[in-house]
Amino acid sequence: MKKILVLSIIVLLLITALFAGLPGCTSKEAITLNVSAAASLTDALKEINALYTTQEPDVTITTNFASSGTIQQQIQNGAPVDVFISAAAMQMDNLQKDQLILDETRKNLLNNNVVLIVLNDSKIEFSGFIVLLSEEVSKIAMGDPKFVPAGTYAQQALEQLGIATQIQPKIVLCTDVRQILTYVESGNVDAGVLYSTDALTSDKVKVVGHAPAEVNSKVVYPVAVIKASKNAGVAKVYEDFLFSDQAKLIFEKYGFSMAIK
Amino acid sequence: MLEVNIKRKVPGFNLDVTFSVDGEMLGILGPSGSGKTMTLQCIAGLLRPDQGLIKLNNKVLFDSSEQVSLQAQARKVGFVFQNYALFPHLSTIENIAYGMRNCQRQEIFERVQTLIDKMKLEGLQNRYPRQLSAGQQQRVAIARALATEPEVLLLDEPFSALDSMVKKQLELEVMKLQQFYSGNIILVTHDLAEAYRLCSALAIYESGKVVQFDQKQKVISSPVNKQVARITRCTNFMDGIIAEIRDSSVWVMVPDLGINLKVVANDHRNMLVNQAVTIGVRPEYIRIAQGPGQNILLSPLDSVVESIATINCYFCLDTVSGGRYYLETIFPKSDAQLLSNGQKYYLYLPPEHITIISD
Amino acid sequence: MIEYLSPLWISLKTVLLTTAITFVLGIAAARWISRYSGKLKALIDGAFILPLVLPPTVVGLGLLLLFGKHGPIGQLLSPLGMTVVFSWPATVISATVMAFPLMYMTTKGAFEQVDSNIEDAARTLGASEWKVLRTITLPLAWPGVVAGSILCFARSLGEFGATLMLAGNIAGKTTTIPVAIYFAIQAGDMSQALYLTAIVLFIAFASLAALAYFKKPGKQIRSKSRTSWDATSNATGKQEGYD
Repeated sequence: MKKILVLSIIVLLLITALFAGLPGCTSKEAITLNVSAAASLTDALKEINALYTTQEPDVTITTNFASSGTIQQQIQNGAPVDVFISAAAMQMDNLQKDQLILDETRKNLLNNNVVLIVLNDSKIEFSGFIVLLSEEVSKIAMGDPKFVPAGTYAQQALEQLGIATQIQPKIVLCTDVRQILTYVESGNVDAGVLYSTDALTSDKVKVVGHAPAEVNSKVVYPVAVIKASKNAGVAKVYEDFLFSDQAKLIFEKYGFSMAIK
Repeated sequence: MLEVNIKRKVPGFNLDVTFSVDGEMLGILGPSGSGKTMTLQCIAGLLRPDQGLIKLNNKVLFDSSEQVSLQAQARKVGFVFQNYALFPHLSTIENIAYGMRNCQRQEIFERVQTLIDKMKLEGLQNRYPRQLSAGQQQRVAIARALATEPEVLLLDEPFSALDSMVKKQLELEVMKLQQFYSGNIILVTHDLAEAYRLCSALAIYESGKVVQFDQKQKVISSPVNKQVARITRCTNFMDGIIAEIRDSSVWVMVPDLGINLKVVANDHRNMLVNQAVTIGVRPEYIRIAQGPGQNILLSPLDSVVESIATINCYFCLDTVSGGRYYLETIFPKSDAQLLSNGQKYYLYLPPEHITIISD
Repeated sequence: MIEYLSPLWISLKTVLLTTAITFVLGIAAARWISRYSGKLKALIDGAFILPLVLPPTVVGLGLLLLFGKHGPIGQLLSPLGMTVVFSWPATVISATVMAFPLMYMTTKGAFEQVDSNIEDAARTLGASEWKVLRTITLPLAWPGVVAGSILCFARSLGEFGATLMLAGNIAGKTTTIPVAIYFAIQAGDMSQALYLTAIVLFIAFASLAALAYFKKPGKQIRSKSRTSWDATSNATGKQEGYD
């Protein structure tokens, strides 16, 4: 019994040594960039990254799609992120306050719109956000304003329209956009508030209202390079590519609009 | 009167019994596992027979043909369990009074007091079962069963867990029960002597069947087969052939011992000459005789077992077929000082105490 | 301050009602299954225990499918104007479903420990099944029943997965403490999360202490017996030193 134990430990050590040696043997030229972005950018960025890699074959891009709040916490806790694209200004502000980004690289990349959605065959007549006050609407799905970017702006939109307090009891708070869509699609809520780009991902819902322009103009997706990045130079080049015409085409294909400078 | 005629089948066991009790105490006697407790549970309604009829004082408790099966709660059956099954969280009087619902407080008070008197539980009213001795617990169990004035009282091996002193006392109590309880009583036991002492009728159980059901005297004097004979301690079996029937006597030839025994048999209507029979002789009736004669065997004494008041003697005879036959006798100690091993004695088998076992 | 009071109030309402419901349902189910001898016994027993072994989100999904707009029960209730999904009763339903197996299993185990001869004796003495349960089985199984209730209370206090799916997070209506803690953590509001956690710990310890006090077996039964029968022992003049 003892012999087998000793033997297994030796084998394990060997295997560990073998794997430990591997990362060292990479070619000097290949660089890996970690791009962490809001989940709503998944489809668009995948295409953009694929395009970028064909143009810059030495760069490998690993992506991390999650809620902006989660990524913010990950960066604050030292995760090795090179480029961060947030779905709202708040998360980027927090990182900037903590001096975790290269300030000169912070730019507004995209705009988005907050919209009101319902099921395609909803029986309620919607002429806009104002219908949310009606008794026919008993439940509304919305992201938690405290950490869901779309929720933050949705709340601002409701306050701007002056209906926030009255419809408060009807609001079902969600942790992410996917949840909002699921609730609306299942018919368990009467309406949902999220970004127009998110609404596009489902063919079971339709847009019946837009947030006031004053709110929508504030909906920005900032991008920045993280200070702790080991490949800041390459990261900056990548960031510039996001503003290129090629990237613009892809973003617009998915319903985003480039940020107004 | 309680009439029972039930069948119940479980894997590996088949219960099929018929008997009745009419205002007396019936003893159900049999070895462990013969279905005695199952029978009681069927009567009480705790188990359901597969088919049959149970009738108590003209009220049908169970009838498979009519799909009638009264709940245990509705049958007026008193059950005293083998392990007493007293309610551990209730005091003596609370235990006894438990079944008395729909009664006025005064009535409850009086009846409980009467039972406490009759079952000698004075002073133990507020004690809990764990504070009572086994004998006291048994008395409480009986009092509790009687409190609901049941029409039949079932006692499931009530004395099995008691030491002999307490057992004797309690037996007396149970015998006296019939002075103030007029319903039917069934006593289940594996102890023949106890059943004989307390009961007037016996039902002998063997593997789920009633092999004999009769007044106790008849069961002892006319066992229906070897099984019953063994259970009633009528041993000394011999195989023989009826040689002659004359008046009220039957002459049985026992070839293996080379002897022709005279047997007094009052009921020999069904017997024929040349019929093969088994006979048995109770050990306690064999006596020592002075010399040879009718129904006398010359037997060498083989061994002696001494009990407190009696002596069991085993005599060893050579059989015609070349084997050995042991004859068992029981003598009161006072008679037995003259016996010594190896000696031959004349043993008299009284004709009136030889039993022809129908088989 | 409202942010702490509201989840506390909602959780208390939910947990108290859930414990009361599971107390009754658990005892009833445990009693019923012990008397049932049909072929489906193992299957039904398994069904009762199922929420214990499934992930809470799976149970939540099942409940959502059942009570949702297109689910069998949901469709039954909606013409009556009742929607379960995203309502306060949903918190009670999910907590009950998740906590029930604990009460059921503990109570069933406690019932099995009670000598069946004792229950049979009560039956032969004319006690109806309800009386047997009330006066014999429950008093004798009491410590186990109480243990089951404690487990239930604790489980429903911490119930999150199924609740979030069926009741959602509606401030002031369905935001129980665990839901509030989760959303607070998501928002990075650690102080609120910890404050709410402290409240949960306090309630849990306070209730454990209170229930341990009431756990003594047959406490009520014993105290009732004295008064009416003292006359008997006094009459004979014999008073033994017991009790």
